[in-house]
Amino acid sequence: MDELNDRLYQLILETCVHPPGSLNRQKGLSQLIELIQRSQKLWRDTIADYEDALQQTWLYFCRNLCEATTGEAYDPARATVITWMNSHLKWRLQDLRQQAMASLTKKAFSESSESDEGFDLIGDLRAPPIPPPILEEVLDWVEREASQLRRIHVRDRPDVNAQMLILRRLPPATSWDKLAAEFRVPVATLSGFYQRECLPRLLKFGKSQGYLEER
Amino acid sequence: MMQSIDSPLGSIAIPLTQTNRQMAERFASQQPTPEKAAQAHRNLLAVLAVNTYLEMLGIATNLQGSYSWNPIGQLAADIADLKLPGKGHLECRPIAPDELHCSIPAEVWKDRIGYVVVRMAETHREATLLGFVPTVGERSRLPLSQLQSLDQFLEYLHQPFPVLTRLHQWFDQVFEIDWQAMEEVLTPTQTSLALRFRGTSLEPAPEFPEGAIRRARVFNLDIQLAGDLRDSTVHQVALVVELAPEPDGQINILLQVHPIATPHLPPDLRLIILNPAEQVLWEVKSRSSDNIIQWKLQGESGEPFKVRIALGDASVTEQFVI
Repeated sequence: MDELNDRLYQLILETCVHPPGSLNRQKGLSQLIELIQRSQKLWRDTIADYEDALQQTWLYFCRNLCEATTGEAYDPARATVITWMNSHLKWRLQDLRQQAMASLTKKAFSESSESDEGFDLIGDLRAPPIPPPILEEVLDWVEREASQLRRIHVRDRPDVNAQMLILRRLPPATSWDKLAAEFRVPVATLSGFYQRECLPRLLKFGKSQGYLEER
Repeated sequence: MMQSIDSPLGSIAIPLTQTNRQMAERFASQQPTPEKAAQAHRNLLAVLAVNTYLEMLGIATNLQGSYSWNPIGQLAADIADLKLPGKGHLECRPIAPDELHCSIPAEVWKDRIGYVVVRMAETHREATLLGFVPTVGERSRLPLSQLQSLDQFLEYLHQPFPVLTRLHQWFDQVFEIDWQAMEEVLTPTQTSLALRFRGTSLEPAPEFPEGAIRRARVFNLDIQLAGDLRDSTVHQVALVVELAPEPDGQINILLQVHPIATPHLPPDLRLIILNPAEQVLWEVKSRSSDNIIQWKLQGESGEPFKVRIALGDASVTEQFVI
């Protein structure tokens, strides 16, 4: 353990010499993360939110190891880096537990007041939304744009056009190898054409349909 | 403890949060088949894992600008890219815990700055970044033994990326950040001059073609004045690119160089069009008191070319793909 802490301490000193965003700072952080993970000294928990707390702890580690950014900067005189991380991790876990408890209580209240059937925690886990008819929408679009899409084709090959390729690559997709054999065109020609001519148009249609996910 | 296959030397494990997993599930739920749903789910988790790693190290990403962040992209292709502003699209390929190869679908062979391989835990609570390669060529299977380390990945990201201007995107109103509306760069007099000069002196300028697009970019040419190394001067010029599609799919491209902040171009300023192998295809040179030089070419979507603006020892080169 001491040997590990010495090594981590040395690596922290070397890493923090370099300014944030520099290659050497990033390489140092990356090596530290790997070394700490490999040591398996980080606190583990079986709580469902454990990964949330752990991801937040890694972000906290990277942002506050050398200088205070989102919290207090790490002070090697007060604790080893693993102790520092574990105490942050445990705080995060406690926060998440309390949040989960609060929302559970709230849910229990609202559900018991709304229905007589009581509340069923398992049943309440959000049912997956019904898939929108995304494929139908794209097929409609291909039909509307058919004449335009047919005009875009691999050089000297009007049969290998954007409309055909989009239809064949939508699920259930024909494999690139099969298409290459069928049209006697190399896979790279087909897939390159698809990347260049078909996908941008499909993505644009997706955006216009409001299919872009908000983060 | 036995050497775990989950953590080969040099790899980094990224915890996947509930939000990450819900996000991936939302993408999956939009897909029409179970296979597509599973694929979109894996792809999005791999993208989010790499995104978190880069966020930890303070490397900028743009999830919303990624092709994979579009359910129709997921529907029409097996893609897992993450956009890195100013660099390009990084592919984040997910693999199962027991896989020793990473499959690379043909639809991601091009238009990527690199490929990071991400091993997904069965629980979907953790993803391990194993390594990267800058290119895959036309291989559909990448053996993990060929991966370079994450250290090399970070070094790679710090290299300057040749900025490739993708002209076909302009028709979708997608412009690289340096390419501005002509009116933002040039004075109104220059703008009308730019339009008038589109024709030759013998024939009147044709109407601005329907569907045509123009953008301008400013370049600085650092000129060392003869005899004195400390004394240098900067000439600013604007490169204007106008695209006009032809009915047969060919694109007419007009390249113009304009002075900025001076009425004339310096004499002997050269506009050079090269092929990707750096062979000069065409060259035009300014005479004294020219206020514009230009060249017209025609090509089709996907064709690459370079444009160099040179004055004395100073030059700037811009790479294009139609």
